[in-house]
Amino acid sequence: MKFDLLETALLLGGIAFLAGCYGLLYGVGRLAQRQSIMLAGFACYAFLCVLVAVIVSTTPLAGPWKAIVVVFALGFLGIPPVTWRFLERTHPHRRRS
Amino acid sequence: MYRSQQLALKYLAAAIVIFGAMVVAGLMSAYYYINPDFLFGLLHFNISKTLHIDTLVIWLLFGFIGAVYWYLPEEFGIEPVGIKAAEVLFYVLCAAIAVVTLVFVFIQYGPSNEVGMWLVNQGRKYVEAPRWAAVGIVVVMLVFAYNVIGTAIRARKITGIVGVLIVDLIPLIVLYLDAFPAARNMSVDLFWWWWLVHMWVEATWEVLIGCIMAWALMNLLGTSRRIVEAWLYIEVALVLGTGILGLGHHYFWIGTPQYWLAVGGFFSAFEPLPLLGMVIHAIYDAGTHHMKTTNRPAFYWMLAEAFGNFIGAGVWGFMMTLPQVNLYSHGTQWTVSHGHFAFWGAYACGVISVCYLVLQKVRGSAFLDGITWRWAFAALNVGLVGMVGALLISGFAQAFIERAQGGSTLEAFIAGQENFWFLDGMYARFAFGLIFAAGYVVLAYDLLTIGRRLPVHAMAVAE
Amino acid sequence: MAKVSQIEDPQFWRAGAISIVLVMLIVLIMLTVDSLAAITVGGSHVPPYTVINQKIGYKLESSRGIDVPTIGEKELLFQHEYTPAEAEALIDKGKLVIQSRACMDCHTFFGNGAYYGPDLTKAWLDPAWEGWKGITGAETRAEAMTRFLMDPVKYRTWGRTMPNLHLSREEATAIVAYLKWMAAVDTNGFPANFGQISVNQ
Repeated sequence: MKFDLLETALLLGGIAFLAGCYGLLYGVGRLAQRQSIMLAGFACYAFLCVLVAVIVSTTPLAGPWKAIVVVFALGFLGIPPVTWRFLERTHPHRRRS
Repeated sequence: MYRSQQLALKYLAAAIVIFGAMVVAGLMSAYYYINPDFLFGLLHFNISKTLHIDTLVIWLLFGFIGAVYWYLPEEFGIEPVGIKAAEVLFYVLCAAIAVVTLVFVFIQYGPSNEVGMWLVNQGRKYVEAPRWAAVGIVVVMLVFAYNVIGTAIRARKITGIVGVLIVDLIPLIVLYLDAFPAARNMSVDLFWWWWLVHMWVEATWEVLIGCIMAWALMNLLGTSRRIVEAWLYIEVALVLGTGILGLGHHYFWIGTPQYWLAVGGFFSAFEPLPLLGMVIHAIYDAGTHHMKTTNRPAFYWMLAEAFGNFIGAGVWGFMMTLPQVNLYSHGTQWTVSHGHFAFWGAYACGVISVCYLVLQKVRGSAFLDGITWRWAFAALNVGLVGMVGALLISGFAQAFIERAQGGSTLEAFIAGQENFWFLDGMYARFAFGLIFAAGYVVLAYDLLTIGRRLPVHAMAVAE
Repeated sequence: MAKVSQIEDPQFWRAGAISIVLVMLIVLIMLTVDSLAAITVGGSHVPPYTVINQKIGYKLESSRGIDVPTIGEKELLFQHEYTPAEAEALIDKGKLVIQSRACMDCHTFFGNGAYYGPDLTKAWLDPAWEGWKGITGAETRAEAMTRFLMDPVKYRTWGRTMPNLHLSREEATAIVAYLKWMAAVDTNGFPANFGQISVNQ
């Protein structure tokens, strides 16, 4: 188990980092109204899913932790669009423009 | 300008000075790792480390207190109550900090009895200050609470932000009372100590900086109070919702029951999710204002806060928070890497941002920008990210060699510390520390002169 | 329409924030009550101070899958059997010495503190003390630790030398007792595999 320590940690960090990249590109894509940037964001998310698959299949994490990683990875998918819609609803100047 | 705002300027100026002291003590602490004979017999690592982490707490706290004294009269439109006492206490507190520093540097150790605890060094991480000084901090915070609550009562008005602030001050003060006991049982000692350290840093401080950022956002971007308050309540719900039981990630290995592995692991793994929401919010705000603002440095430092918080607390935290990883990463340079990144992102950038907002008002600049702040911004962030990266490499080497391979004995510890990956990390950390220190000098110069320089240039051109 | 106004209403979010915080605090308080019972001296995770009169070990417990401390037959510390009152006084002194010398700003206890010196959680069990017996000319591990603590500069370990903190014999003895008691605390398996692997292998 110990020899998978660094790989596991880097995979977990990679998931959170890619979630950030996805959020960043999603937000910038929405602002610039550029489909290509948003697609890059979703590509980051797809890569994140690959890392989740690697974690589930190869690392020594216990079953419940793997389940939590999967659930939170799904949570990352939803946060940018949900937050964005909430912000648009609550910021009146944006709705008018 | 209100008297409370003049006091705010003193607090913010003192915060930047203490920030400098923290940088110096940090460089010293980093240097011990590459030259262990440095000042041997005169001043040892534990004193420089104490100064480094205690000044960290103090400068951020000064920044928060200063920011509140600045925005409080604007919030209520009257001079805050009890400012005279607060002014006196500011000088008392500065004198106390100077005395404690001198005691740490020149006396260092006291006798192993109550006298030593009261007068010299309590030796508990972050709350090393002797008890007499801790009493002083309690008094300052009580007067600070009196200023806030008394002003709200006199103005016969309570806003959402001030309401949150007042509720937050209660745990802030009550938790600090754990700076006094010396519990015999290390497990009990650390149990309550984490209530203080975690609940300050990952709960009450988060709420405090949330209140300050709410004022700053209204000030910087002209966001409406209704939006800012809704956002503040959501932040409180998310930060405390994950942070209160996130305390569990400190209860994995201190003698507490095994269920904390599940509780702490779950709630701290949750923490990156709200932080991602904050990143989206920052992008939205930046975008809807088309990156246009009258205060460039404040705006960029606020963006650095959102991204730094996500990467430092979110990514670095997620990497090491699950118990199976934490068993090996806990208490290594890996933790140090996370600590530096998270403190920087969550608090330091925010306090610097507030400094620029306040200076814009003080210097009466319609538009705050320049070249100098960019150099400071670049050097500080490059220095910090470099330090954190270097520490991570050292931490990986240490966790792997000392913990996973070696079984954590003295022999394993030495093998880890003498490994070339570890040592190279330590050299790189020191080098990036120097870049960070250079950034600090530029920042201090810029804060002193920004908004003043432009008229001088204009005059020179006119001549 | 009602939904939209609710989402924009700060009061709605305030109620949410208060409820979440209250629920979390109640859970935390319940867990705290339970944990304090476990970590009080003599509780399920923290042994009584008189454990310093016994032999301490650290072994894999297969039912939990982690290393846990073992408390064995009588093994006196400094050839003295401490009564409960004496043991408590000694541990009390040990804690005050540890605080007065700011040990925690170089070392870690249960992994908490500073990372310049080695972790002290299981320091009592460290195999290195066997070698120290020869170096210090001591008969027992406890005596070797005491002599080292009283003059660490004389017994330099490696590149980083522990400074002389001017400990009296009484103070050094108290620290040794403290470390022995601490080694018997159940830390959920931290550190893992302590002393079971040699780096040189």
